[in-house]
Amino acid sequence: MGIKLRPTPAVNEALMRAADGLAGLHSAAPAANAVLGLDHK
Amino acid sequence: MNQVAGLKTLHAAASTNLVQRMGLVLDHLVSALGEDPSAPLRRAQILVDIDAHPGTTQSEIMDRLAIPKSTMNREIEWLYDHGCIVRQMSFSRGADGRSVPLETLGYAKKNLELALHYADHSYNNLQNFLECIIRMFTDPKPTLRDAKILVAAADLGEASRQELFARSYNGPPTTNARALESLMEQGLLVSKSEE
Repeated sequence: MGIKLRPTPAVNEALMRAADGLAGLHSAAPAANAVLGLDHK
Repeated sequence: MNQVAGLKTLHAAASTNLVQRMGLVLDHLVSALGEDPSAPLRRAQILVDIDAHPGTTQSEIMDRLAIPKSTMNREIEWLYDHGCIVRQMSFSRGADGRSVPLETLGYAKKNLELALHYADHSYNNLQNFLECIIRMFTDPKPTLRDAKILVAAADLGEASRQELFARSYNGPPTTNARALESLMEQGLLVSKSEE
């Protein structure tokens, strides 16, 4: 059987943040929102 | 939205977990970018920004996304050449290229709409998602393929190279292998024995 790979815990955590950001559960990049001009839907 | 595509999206949304949804968003972004999984995630951000601000200019996008001018010029030209965006012609003659209004169109617009479905139809949510993904990497130009491999790895928990390649995008085997090597070098993927 070949070598198995897995994401680090930090990657899993970051992906969960990304999923939350996608769902609008929290602002994943609060500082960026004003700059992005995307405080609206 | 195309009705069949819309129904497929609704079905996919109902039958997938959070991690798998991220993979589907990446798939739609690849389609929006001319089926090019080697596209940088920043290019996707620029396309999303133009779709969110129809008629916006290159200068405005640079201000909002804080992307350097040389990168922006290159990405705008790529998006234009691949039919993802259109320049409003009445402004283009003799105008400074950075002040020409831009809009998304065609397959880019359609697939962004499908991606937005997973983001509660919020550009803000979609940009937050992309920003979170980009920040994971130490590589300055992560691609949609890189992100897809990481999402697949998170979904599988533990996977062989071949299993990850099967979940990645089609392309020369060396392309997927290089992407995987890069993810390991960046310390984002580790082999079981390294834990």
